[in-house]
Amino acid sequence: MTTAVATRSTDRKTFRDRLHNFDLKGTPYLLVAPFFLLFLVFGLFPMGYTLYTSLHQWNTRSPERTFIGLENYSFLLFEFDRFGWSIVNTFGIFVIATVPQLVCGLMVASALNKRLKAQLFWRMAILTPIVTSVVAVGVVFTRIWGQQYGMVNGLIEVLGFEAVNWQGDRLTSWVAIASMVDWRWMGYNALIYLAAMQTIPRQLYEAASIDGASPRQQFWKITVPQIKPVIVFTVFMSSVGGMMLFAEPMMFGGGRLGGGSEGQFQTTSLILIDLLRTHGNYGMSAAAGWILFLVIGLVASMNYFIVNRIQGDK
Amino acid sequence: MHLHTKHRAKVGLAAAAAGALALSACGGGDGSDGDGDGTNEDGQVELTLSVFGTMGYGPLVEEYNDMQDDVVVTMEGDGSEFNDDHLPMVDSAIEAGSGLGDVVGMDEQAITQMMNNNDAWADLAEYGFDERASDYPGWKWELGHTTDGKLAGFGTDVGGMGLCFRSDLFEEAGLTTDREELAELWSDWDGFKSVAQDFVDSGIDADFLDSPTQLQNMLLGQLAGTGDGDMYVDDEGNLTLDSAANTEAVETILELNDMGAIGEYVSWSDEWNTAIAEGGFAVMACPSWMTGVISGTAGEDNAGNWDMAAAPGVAGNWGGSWLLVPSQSQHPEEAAELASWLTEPEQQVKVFEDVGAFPSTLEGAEQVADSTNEYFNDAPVGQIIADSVAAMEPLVYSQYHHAVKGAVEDVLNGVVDGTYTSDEAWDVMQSEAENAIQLSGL
Repeated sequence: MTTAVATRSTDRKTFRDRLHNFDLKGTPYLLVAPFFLLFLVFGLFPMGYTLYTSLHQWNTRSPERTFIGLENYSFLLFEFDRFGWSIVNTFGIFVIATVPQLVCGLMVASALNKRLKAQLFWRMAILTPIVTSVVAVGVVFTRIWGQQYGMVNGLIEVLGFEAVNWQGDRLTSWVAIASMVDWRWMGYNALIYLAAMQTIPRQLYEAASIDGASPRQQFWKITVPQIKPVIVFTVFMSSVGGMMLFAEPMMFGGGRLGGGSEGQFQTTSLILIDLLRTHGNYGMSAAAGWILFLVIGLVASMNYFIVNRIQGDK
Repeated sequence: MHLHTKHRAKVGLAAAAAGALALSACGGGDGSDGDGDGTNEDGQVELTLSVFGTMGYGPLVEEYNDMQDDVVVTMEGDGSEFNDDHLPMVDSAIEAGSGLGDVVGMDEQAITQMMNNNDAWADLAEYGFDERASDYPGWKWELGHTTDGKLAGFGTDVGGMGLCFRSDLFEEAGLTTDREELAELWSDWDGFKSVAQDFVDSGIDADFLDSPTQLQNMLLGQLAGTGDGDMYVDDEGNLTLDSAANTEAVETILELNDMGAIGEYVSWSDEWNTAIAEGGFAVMACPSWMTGVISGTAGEDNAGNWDMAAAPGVAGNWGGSWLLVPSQSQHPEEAAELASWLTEPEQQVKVFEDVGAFPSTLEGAEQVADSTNEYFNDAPVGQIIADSVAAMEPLVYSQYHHAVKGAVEDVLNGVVDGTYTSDEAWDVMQSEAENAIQLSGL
């Protein structure tokens, strides 16, 4: 009898134990499972399928699918000049857009960090561009940079210079597109910098003031070093976003995917969609997608090593 | 160290996620509901008419729904851009096997490419619609057939060809504004060049032509029609950029460009639209359907500023469409009836009166032959277009036509905006066209 009871109680204990154990070790996995299941269905599976597609000659306009190995990749990388240039364009626009964007963001944040009247208003105001639809931004900026009826050219002509065909050249079109990116994202970065600046202890500035450091010195010697991790974060985020730039150059080209007559502002994302939509070429578009993926991976890891180096210097 | 690895993993994950976003961007697809058996609660057959641009079927769809009780038609895609929206939608719906309307509008530039995909289209001859052959000129009827001979749909309109011109700008430049006189002056392309020269010499603040591409479409269609029919690619898939038609078309454009007669308004762009209204340029190639585009874009304020004259060489065609029935339709017979009704001469005439698309049926064309357009100073649009298609020869379209056309247009735009010199144009055009064929991956 006693044995039986003992057995039962051990049984119960084991079950409870198991439950407890599961609760401890299993529940976290259950809780994160929805994300990973979704990622599996909408992230990993499409990636795998894209890889499969990229190895085929696959066009919507023909029923045949032929396995062609890496031919799509080699055509894009070695024969199709526009593709290489699209990567150059993407980086070019990224550099022209990101540097002023982050510098301005830093300046604005530092201004907003001072005591201002209607502080909340200013802080909200710099955020408004980010809630504007990118298509609306594209439409408005395309008109601003228009050749015949554009505002910028109007101003240039008033000043007595000759109107510029902003879409015609690589550099000018990059500048126009970068202006859209900057207008939209500068406030966002400023707000992140502002949040970081507010965590810097006041004593540092007080001590510096007592030592006779000017505001400029305080900015460069205290503010910037203190928020360095955040600056690194914003650089990282804008480089990933910059590599995938799509809507702005598309809108700038009047909704076309060609990126100008010579592809002078055709980013890699534009080529990817152009292959898919204009040419119906699923195979090559998928290959372009994978190359872009690898480029982004490369940029991200480069960022990582640079960041490591910077932090190591500290 | 521990933190370090965690950080590394996070960076990796972020990179992976960002890349995944880039990849999944090619997923998407628009589609209508393909559920159920295509009937509503009342047992009526539900049909979707999928159109693009200004096909002008709104009032007709209402009329069709009112005149019978068995079928309910909904129209989608009205006003969508053909190259950027409609064609990709059709492509991906065919690929997916569902989501395509029961009746689909298709423009001339992609019709051959569509007819190449035999499995995608129903055979309307099965329902007895091959009897409509006698309504159409032979070429228009034949282009609506798949390569294995199925009747996939019916022609809606033909473009024909004329030249639209701004009479206010012509007056300012000291040129005649009489459409008969102009037609006489530019009865051939040399005459056209000398009018262009006079216009440029007047020094007024406007371009003679809008862009190189509109003129290229017109020239090529005309010259290929009077020559061997080849445009960019022959029916065996070989590039024919050096065909007599294309050589003369491009050389004419280069010459006009050197003269300073061509503007930098990329067709269909914002600036182009603005210039149509503001008088940025004076002349534009004008198929029948373009009259609807101009009056819609320039608006009431410009009524009477635009006029239309016969084009140099008279004959020519640019554009024109078909209504096709895809094999994925659940009610191909009802769909065929709808497509057939919409393209009957009587309905084609209504569309012409409404949006300017010129009837492709012989009877419809005859009925509108003496119509005038009030917006264009009462120009005899019917007569001008009818003359241009009367002697029309069929053109050779290939499945690559659409892609190569885009590549050539880009290069011509590039010549006008100074990206390429006239001397470079041919080489660049050849290599871009070769790329375009390669990119099609067919």
